Amino acid sequence: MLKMMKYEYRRGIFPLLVVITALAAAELLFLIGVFGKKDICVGLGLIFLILGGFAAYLFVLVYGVIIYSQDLKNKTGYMVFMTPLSNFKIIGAKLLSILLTGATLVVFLAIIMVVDYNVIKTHDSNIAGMEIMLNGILGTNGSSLGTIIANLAAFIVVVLIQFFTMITIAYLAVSLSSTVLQNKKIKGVVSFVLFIVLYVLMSYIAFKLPHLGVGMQAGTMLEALYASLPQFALYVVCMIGSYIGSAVLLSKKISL
Amino acid sequence: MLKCEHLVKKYITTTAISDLSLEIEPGHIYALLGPNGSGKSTLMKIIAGLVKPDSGTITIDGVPMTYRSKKDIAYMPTEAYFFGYMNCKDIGKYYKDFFDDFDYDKYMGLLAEMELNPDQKAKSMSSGMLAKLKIAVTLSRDSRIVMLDEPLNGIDIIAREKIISTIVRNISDDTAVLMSSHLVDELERIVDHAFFIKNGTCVLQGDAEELRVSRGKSIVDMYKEIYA
Repeated sequence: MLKMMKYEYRRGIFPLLVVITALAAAELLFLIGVFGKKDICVGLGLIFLILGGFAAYLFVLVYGVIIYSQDLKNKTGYMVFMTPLSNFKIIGAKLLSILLTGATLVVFLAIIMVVDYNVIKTHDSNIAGMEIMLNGILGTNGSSLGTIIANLAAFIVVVLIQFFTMITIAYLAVSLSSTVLQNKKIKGVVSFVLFIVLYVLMSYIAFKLPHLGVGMQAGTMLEALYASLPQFALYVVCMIGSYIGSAVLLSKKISL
Repeated sequence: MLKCEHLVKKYITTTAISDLSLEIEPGHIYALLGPNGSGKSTLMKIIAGLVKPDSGTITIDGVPMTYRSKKDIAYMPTEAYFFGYMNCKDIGKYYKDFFDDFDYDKYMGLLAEMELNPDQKAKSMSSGMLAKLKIAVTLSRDSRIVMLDEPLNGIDIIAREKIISTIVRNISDDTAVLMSSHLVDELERIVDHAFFIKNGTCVLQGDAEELRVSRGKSIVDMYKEIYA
């Protein structure tokens, strides 16, 4: 499985490098603005980094689904499915390599965020002052900047898990399209509709599920994550269900 | 050794394989004959585990096939199937990673014999070069079953003789070879058994020499008689 992961990661490395190069260019623009005291460059650099970060993450994850879809439609799938590995291992390797690619990007973005905040704080004394002032205001409400960052970080983790669940549901839809629906003329439409229905249903249930520790101020990321534990559990169940469903469908009905 | 019984595979409007049964044994070269669309490639894909039949069974030594059986089967599809970024060396390393019976040194030797550059990417190769590459990588495995789907496709008339001798030379006595080709006359010289596939079913099969004697004609003439 690790060997398959290596090859799957290698297949996605080129788009990842393109994305990282584009983000590095935005970062360079930002740094030129900070050190050259050009506000327009700082602003543009930040906008490109924020929007580019979201777009890049979306692209890298969606690219993983495209690769899987291509493997089931094009001949490159022979290379993957002629190996003596179970479909559980093959799909597991594909999903984990997407996760690894996404994690690489998240780590890269997190490093950029921390570095940029410290760079801008060092070069602009107003930022450090604003940080103290904001902490003071939040303190009067029994909160702090640390609390907000913890909640924000927990929110990002939940969003990432939700997004990864979406990828596994997309895998299930692609698997359905290439297996039980393979002889249907509108298999693409049916599987897309099914994907939307499953995802909306999951999101609706997640919305209806209660949050734990209502009224509690989360001081750390773990405390904030605890609040979303029911949603977190739902996403994990959907993720595992979609993974098993995809592997079983391929085992029963693969047709390359 | 390999036994297919009552295989059926249907697609939207066509039946690719219809109640097909056959058996192959080690030490023989089997020709899988039939025109385009007769079901040869689908049958090979089913045996390779790339297509699931709607019904029927496949066993190896009496044991039903699973994903583990793929380690005993070296399959060469008729289409190019390598990942876009891979050169010949990468392809060899990939096979070495997944197939214990893959001999990397033999592979490099076959590449040299076929005058292929190990550093050249598969996606930049001509159809003739790709055909040679597929043969090299498949024959570098020491599998119990070797399936070659149209191995002479894209190979010019001059190189065909060399390819056929390379195939015959690189197959061991305990291997069963299943080979399809439109070029029946090229296959006739090397096969010792033939399966004639028509509309997804096996309409004639037997030992090549026995068929020639009993019917008083060559495999090529039998092919013309069945499909003309």
